[in-house]
Amino acid sequence: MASPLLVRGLRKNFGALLAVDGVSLEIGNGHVHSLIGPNGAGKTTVFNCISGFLGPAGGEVRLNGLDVTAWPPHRLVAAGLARTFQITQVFGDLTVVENVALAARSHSGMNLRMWPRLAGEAQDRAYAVLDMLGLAQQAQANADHLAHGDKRILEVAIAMALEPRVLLLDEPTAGMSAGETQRIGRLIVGLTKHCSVLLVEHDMEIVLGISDEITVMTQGRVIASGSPDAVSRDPLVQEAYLGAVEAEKL
Amino acid sequence: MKDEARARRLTSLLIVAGAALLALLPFVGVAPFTITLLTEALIFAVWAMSLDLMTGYAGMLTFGHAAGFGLGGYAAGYFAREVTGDFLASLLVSELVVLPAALAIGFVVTRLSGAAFAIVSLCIAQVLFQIAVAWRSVTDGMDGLVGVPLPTLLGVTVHNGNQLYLLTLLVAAMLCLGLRQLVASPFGRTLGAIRANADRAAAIGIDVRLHKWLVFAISWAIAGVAGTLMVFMKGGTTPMSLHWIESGNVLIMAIFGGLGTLFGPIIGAVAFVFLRDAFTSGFAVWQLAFGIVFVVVVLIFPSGLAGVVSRSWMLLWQARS
Repeated sequence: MASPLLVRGLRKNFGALLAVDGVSLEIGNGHVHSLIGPNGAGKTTVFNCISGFLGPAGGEVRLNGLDVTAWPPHRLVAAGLARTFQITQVFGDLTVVENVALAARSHSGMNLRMWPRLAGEAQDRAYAVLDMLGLAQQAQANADHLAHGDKRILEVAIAMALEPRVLLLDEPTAGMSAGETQRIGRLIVGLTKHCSVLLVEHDMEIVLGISDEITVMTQGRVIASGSPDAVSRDPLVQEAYLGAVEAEKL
Repeated sequence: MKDEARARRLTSLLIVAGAALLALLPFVGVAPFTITLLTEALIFAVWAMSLDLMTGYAGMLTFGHAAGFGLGGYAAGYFAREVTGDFLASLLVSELVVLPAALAIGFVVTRLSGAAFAIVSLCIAQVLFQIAVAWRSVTDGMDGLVGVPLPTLLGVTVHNGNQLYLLTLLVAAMLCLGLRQLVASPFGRTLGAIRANADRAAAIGIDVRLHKWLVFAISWAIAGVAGTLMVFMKGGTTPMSLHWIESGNVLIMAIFGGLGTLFGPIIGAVAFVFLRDAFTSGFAVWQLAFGIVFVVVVLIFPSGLAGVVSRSWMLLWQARS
């Protein structure tokens, strides 16, 4: 069976700057695969190339075996790939449920319907997703009025309404308290029942706790890849990223 | 959701009632000159609503919205003069010219956004303007297309004045009802999502360019209806109908009335026509006087005249309960 997401030799440059230089990774079915590395390592650029927001300069992206390299975002979504953003991007003046319903409608191809009939299926699915992620209580609140942590979870809910096979999460715990971080960690593990996850994350506790595999990047290149254990013992990784203190702890 | 559907039905009812009320005006002794001004205002209202769909709802600011309007006018006027003044046939021909043009032009320009889209749309309208000036064998150049006959509707001649007013009112009311349904539809909601955050919209699987392209075509098509009505009202058209000054005027109407409301552009168009009339008789440079009123209104009420109306309505509502 083909890997849900396979990236091979991905390259991307911005002018003379080579931001991503031959990155390869493969996600196992129903796995959480983390992509880590210091700031500026090129993680978000890899994300943007996979999700169609940037055109890669080289390499290939395969979704369930299908070559989807440089497809536009909406086609990738239809093919089963959804993403969240590092900086929260919800539709602030819509309600929580309407945010999710927009995605559900888009997923069922209803967004081109030019006559009002909003209730029904999409709404139901939106509520189901909110229920699953524990946001049902706030369904009718304005998205802008949510607490920061809940907004981050709403991001995930919007993506899950697209029923993805592969979910790309860009720093879901950014700006969260320790308690909230625990909550989202458990939530991500729960998501693997429905899809495989590629996670960009800075919180090492989460990464080591929930990942099946980890890929480490610095300066646009992959320097290590494997199980959390193997990666955290890798001397290159300790030197480049984890730092002496972290290394002692492990 | 239920409340929303009910509110929508109520609004539709209000539009029908408002149109019925306006239809009574010629029969209760309103001066013919006022009826003529109202006819022009309603045509502008249709045009400004079409702009509101593109700019207010989909967030695509354009400085070239005279293009669909002027093109529709030329196509309908030429056909009416050369073949038949039948209103529906002329309208159909006008759309057969405007729609393919909008689809072709829109396919290219909707790849742009923001300032680039605004300026390129301006350039396209100016190109059409230059064609209208230069293609003398069809357009009669700067002299303009003249000799457009009175329109006929189902074989009956529609005379200028009250009859044309009623026909315009009917078309405007139907388009207003249709556009309200459109902006409340999933498609309309999707436009709001694209306006708010195009990247976010793309990430939930929305084909942003397809939506912008469709909006562009729909908007031009409706502008073409306004252009068709106008060419029959004036009995002709000139290249000025494609000029950037006209694109500016329709933008002023829509912003003055309130973007993203559909009702706003109607109020804006009526205000534009009647203020222009009042100022041209009083001031040598009416644009200056109108400009000052425009700036003051937009400064005090950034959401336009429609914002004033809806806010006072809400205050009244709160005061009651």
